[in-house]
Amino acid sequence: MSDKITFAELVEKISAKTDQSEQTTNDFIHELAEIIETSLGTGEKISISGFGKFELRWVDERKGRNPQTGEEITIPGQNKVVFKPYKALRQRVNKPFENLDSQLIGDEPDESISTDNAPVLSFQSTSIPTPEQASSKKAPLEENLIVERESPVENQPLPVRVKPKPAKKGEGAPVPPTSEEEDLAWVFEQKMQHQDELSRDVQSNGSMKWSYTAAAIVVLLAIFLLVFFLNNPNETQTSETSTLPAQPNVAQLGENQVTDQEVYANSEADQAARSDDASETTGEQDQIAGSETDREIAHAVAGGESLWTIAEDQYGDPYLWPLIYNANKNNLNNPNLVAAGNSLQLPVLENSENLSQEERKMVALGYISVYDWILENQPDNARYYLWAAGSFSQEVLRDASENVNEADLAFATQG
Amino acid sequence: MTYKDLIERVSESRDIPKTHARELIESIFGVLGDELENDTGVSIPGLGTFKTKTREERKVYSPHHESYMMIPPKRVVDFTPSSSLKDNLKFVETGDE
Repeated sequence: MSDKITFAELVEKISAKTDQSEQTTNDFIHELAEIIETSLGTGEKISISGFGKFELRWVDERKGRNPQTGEEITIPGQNKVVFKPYKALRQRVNKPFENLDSQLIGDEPDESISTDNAPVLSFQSTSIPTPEQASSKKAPLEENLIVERESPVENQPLPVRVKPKPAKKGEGAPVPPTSEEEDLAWVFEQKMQHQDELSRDVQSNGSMKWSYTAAAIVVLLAIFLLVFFLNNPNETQTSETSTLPAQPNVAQLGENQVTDQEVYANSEADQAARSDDASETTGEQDQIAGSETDREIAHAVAGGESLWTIAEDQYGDPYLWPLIYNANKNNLNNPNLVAAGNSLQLPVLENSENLSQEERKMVALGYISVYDWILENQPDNARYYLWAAGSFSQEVLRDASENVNEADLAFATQG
Repeated sequence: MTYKDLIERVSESRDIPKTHARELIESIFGVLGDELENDTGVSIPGLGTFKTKTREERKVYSPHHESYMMIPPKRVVDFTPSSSLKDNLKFVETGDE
């Protein structure tokens, strides 16, 4: 619970700061309050830079109950004064907790009630591919990729004990898959369909078999290494280094993400545990990498982050993510995928809730860049990004209109 | 009304230069921000009370990650409009609705 200071104390502090008499300060504040009240009365919003925004919001008539008598009453519709603090103030006030990040804690016991519905919902809502859904669809996959990359390293210190587990499970999956394992593999296959920018060739049934072969090669390699370790129990040091070159070899054999994902699909518990670790360690990276330059901030990408979530953290508005994409276009192949550990340059906005003309143009240019990318890879969805660019700056849309698809432009300008 | 408009209106009604009005407004909300940062509540007559509130940490299900998440505690600004402000504006026609 917070302490309070009286208004007199406040006036004292302010007049000390401004070299005004307390009487003047007092009058001034009263007048300021009056002006705010009158402006609110005319339906205006009052924005105070670096602080927040006051506005009047209409609350419709609603049913209520007298808490004392239990009697039902109708509360008439009325105006409500709301104050919305801007990001700067929110950050200042939240200082004691600023270093805390939300953490994935994996599956909960009561999960069976809600989990079953939630993923289904997120898949059902594909009809309107807004940037939000686009990124939310891709995020889980992104995490899996990250986990997959980290895992060989994690396994190495204990090659003899840990290795056999994922390997044997991987072996089990291809040959006679139990229904559960098949489901998991199917889910990943589905996600891959959305994600095939990564692996150009769409995974058909034929290449499924090929990926099983690749999985079998991985397993054989793992077993070979195991035998190797067992024969040389004293040379675990050297064997660790010998695993390292082995991994790239596997990659070069032509197996791609799908194989590894199938292997890891079966060890979801491991995944959850690892992504926990990942978010903890990368949280620290964030702080280290938070050094500011004039116009841009460096940001180290943590596991599970996407441009969408970074924009939300940084600007308070996830829809500004193309701004980040545009600033890092040269380092990003795919706006839907940012690898953990990468460093991004985040453009600095004066006030993300009240963009200047220049800043709106920057965001619009970002959407145009995304549009260019999407047009090459998912042409059906590209028009939404063009529309979004227009909603930030018509001028930018006009400038870009020569290089875009006509039908897309018609869609972007109609609304 | 933008920040600029506010400064303009205050400078007109107080008959002081705009730079001066800006300075005053800045220091008022600067001090207010400092107090809130130090977890101190402030009442401004005719406007309302600013104080801070701490939201407890909580557990949520994130469909994005398909997993449960721990949301850390957070301290936020809590504004309660003064009763005079609230009542004066309750049934005003703003033209918006």
